[in-house]
Amino acid sequence: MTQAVKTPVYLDYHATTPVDPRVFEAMQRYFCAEFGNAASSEHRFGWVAESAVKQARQRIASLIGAQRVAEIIFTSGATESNNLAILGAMRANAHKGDHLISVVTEHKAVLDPCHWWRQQGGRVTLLPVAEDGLIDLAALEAAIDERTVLISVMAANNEIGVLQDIAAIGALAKQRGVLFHSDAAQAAGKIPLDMEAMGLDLCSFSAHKFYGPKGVGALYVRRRNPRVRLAPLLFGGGHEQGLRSGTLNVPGIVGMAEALALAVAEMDEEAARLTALRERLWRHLAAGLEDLTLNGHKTKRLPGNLHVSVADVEPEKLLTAVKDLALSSRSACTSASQEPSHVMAALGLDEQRLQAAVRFGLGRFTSEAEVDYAAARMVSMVAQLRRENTVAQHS
Amino acid sequence: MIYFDNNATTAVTPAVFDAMLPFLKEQYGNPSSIHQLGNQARVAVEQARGRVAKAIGARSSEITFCASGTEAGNFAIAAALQQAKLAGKLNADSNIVITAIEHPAVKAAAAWFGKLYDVTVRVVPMHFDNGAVSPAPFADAIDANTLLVSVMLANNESGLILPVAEIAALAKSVGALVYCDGVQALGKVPVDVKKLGVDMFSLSAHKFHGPKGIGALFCKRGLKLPAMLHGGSQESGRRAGTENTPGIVGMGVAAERAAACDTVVIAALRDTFEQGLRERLGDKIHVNFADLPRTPNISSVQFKGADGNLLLIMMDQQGLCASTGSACSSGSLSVSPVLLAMGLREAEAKGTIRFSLSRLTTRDEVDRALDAVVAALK
Ligand SMILES: Cc1ncc(COP(=O)(O)O)c(C=O)c1O
Ligand SMILES: Cc1ncc(COP(=O)(O)O)c(C=O)c1O
Repeated sequence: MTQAVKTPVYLDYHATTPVDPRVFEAMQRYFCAEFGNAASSEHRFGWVAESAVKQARQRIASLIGAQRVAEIIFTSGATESNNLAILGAMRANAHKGDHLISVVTEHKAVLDPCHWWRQQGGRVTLLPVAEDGLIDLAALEAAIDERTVLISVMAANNEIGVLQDIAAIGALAKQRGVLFHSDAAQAAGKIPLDMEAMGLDLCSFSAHKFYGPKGVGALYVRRRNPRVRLAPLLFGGGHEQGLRSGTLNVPGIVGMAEALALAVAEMDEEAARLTALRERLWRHLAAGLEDLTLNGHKTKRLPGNLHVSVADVEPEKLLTAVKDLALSSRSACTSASQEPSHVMAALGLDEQRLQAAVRFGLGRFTSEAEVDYAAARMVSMVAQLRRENTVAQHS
Repeated sequence: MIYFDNNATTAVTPAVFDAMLPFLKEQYGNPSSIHQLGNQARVAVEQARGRVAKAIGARSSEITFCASGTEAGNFAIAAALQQAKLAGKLNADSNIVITAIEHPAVKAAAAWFGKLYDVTVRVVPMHFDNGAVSPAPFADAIDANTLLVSVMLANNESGLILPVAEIAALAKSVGALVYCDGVQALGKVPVDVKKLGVDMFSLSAHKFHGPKGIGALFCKRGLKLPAMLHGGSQESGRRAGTENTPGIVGMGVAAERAAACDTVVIAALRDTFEQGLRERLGDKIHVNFADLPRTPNISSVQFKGADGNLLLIMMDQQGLCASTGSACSSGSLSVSPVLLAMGLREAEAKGTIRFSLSRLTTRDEVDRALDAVVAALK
C-alpha cells in the first residue's frame, strides 16, 4: 500500500481549483481596507481601486499577448465571457451575416448561446470531431460561407482535455475574414496562449480554473485588425468601455491577474511535472486494470488531464464507492445528469466506453503520493465492483 | 481618511470576511460537483440563499444569485420583455414605465431592451406634494399596455424613499409586472418584498458591507422568466456560470446583518452632521431633500455658489471622501440628471455634494468630517 495521504484526494481540477495562497495574499487587502469603487474618481479610495484594476488589466494583457490593454474586458467568469463573445458578436454584426460555426464538444457555456442564437433565427453549424476529439480543419473551412460571422472553438476541452490547433484555426479565420473566438477557460495558465500569434479576435477566461477566485473572468476583445464590434449583454454605468456595465469586482480582478501571472511563470515546469504524474497514474491504472481505454488524443491534451473508460462498471457506482477521491465523470455543471456526456457521445465510441467514463483532473497541489493512492484505490474498487457484477450475473 | 461615500460602495466587515475565508481557502469545491467538497460548497450556497431571502421577506427558491446589481436589473427588464414577446403580448402600444430617477443600470437597460423589442419607455417625472412623492404621474403613465413598471425603493443620489407599494398596486391593477431596484435599500430601510407587492427586486452585496462581484434578483414564485446567461443549469437554470461561493456566502452574512441593523443610530449621526453644517456654515449651505422621506445614511448638501467637483478635491485633501453623485457617472462633469429630476436647478445641482454614511461611521468621524468641510471651503 502507498504512503498515507490526506483524503479526500482532490482530482477534479477541471471543475475548479483552490485559490493559491499567493493569490489570496494579493487580493486580501481589497476587501476590508482598500475597498473603494474603481469608478469613484473623486477620492483616494476610488483611485487606489482604479489603479489596482489598471495594473491587473496590464498584467493580463501582456500575459496573453494582447497588443492593447483596452482589449481586456472583465466579466464574472467564462460563462459570461462566452455569452458576451458569441451573442455580442452575432448581434453587432447582423448586417454582415447570421452564421456561426462551433463544435459539438464545446462546453455548455458555448453551446447554449449557440442554441439561443439558432432559436432567434440565426444559423449555427456544429462541427463533429474525430475519435481523438480533434476537429478537421478542412471541414471547418468547408463550413464557412458568405454569411459566416464567427468561429468559436475551445482551446482545451474540459472533459477529455483535448487541445485544438488554435493557431491554425486563427490563420484560417483571418484568411477568410471571419471572427475567431476561443473558450480558453481550461487552457489559460496551462498551455501557452498568444492572442496576436494565434489570430484570436475574442477569447474567454475564468480565474477559478487557474487558482484564482470564483466569480471573475475576462474576455479578450481585439481592437485592431479587425476592430471587433460587440453588443453588450449588460447596460448601465458604461464600465469596461460600455461593453460590460456593473461595479468591478476589484479583489477578484487583482486575484485573477496574480493567478495568471503565477500560472504563466510556472507553466513549463508545472506542465512537465503534471505530465509525468499523469503518465504515472495511467501506468498504475493500466497495470492494475484490464479493459481500460484512454479517451481523447494521446499527446494533444492538457498536462493534468487523464480521461479513461473502465469497462463493466457504472461510473456513478464507482465514483460513490471511492468517496475518498474527489473525481467526476464529466463537466460539473451537468454532473447531476445520468446520460453519457455530449463530449463522450461525440467521439463515436461504443456504448461500453461511453458509459464508463472517469475524468482525472490533476493540478498544482497534486502529489505523487496522491496519484499512487488514487490509482491503488481505483484498481481495488474496480476489481471489487467487477466481482460483484459477476456474482450478480451468476445468481 | 473619513469615508462618506458608502452609497458608491462599502467596506467588507470583518464578520463577512471571516465567513468568506474558508471558501477562499480549503472549501474550494465547485457547488455543482457531486463529491464531498462540492457538497460542502452547495450547502453553503443554499444557506446563504436562505439568509438573503429572509432579509427581504422572500422564499429561498425566489432568490437567484448573479454578479451585480446591474446584472440583476438588466435581467429583470430583459426577461420581462422576452416573456411578453413569447406570450404574444407585444403590440404597437406596449410600454414600460420607469421613474426619472432610476439608476443608469435601469435607464440604459430599459432604453436598449425597449428598442430591441420595440416597446416605448415612459419616464415618469417626480412630483412632490406634502413632503411625499405624488403617485399621480404614475397613474397617468401606466395603462393597459404597460408590461413592466420599474421603480426603485431608495434613490442612490438623493436618498429618496419611493412609495413602491402604492405604485406597485397601480401596476397590478393593469396586470403589469413590477421590478424594484432595491440596491440602495437593504440595510437602510426595512425591506419586505411581499408587502411591497413587487415581482422582482434586486440586491448588490457591496452596497451593504458584502463583497463586490455578487448580487441577487428576487423573482416572485410562479413567475416564469427566460434565462439571461446561457450555458449551465446553475441557479435552477436562470443564471448559468460556476457559483461564486465566497461571494455568495459573504452576501448571505452581509444581508442578514444589514436587515438587522439599527438605522436609528445612523440617522442620528447624519442629523448631527447636518446640524453641525448648519451651525458652522449657516446659509452658505442648504440640505437637499431634508423634508422628504429619505434613507437614514444620506446627506445631500448644496454649497451655494460652489463647484461640487472642485470642493471634493479640497475635501479629499482634508481627508474626507464624498462624491457628487453616482459612482458610475462620477468624473463626468455634466450636472446630475437625477438631481435635476428631483427638482434642483442646474446651479444648485452643480454645488451639491453627497455624503453617505454607514453603520461603521463613528461620532468622531462626523466631528472630523465637519472640520474637513469647513477647512475645504476656506
Ligand atoms: C471550457 C469551459 N468553458 C466555460 C466554463 C464556465 O466557466 P465559469 O465557471 O467561469 O462560468 C467552464 C467551466 O465551468 C469550462 O470548463
Ligand atoms: C440604485 C442602484 N442600482 C443599481 C446599482 C448597480 O449595482 P452594481 O454596482 O452592483 O452593479 C447601483 C450602484 O451602483 C445603485 O446605486
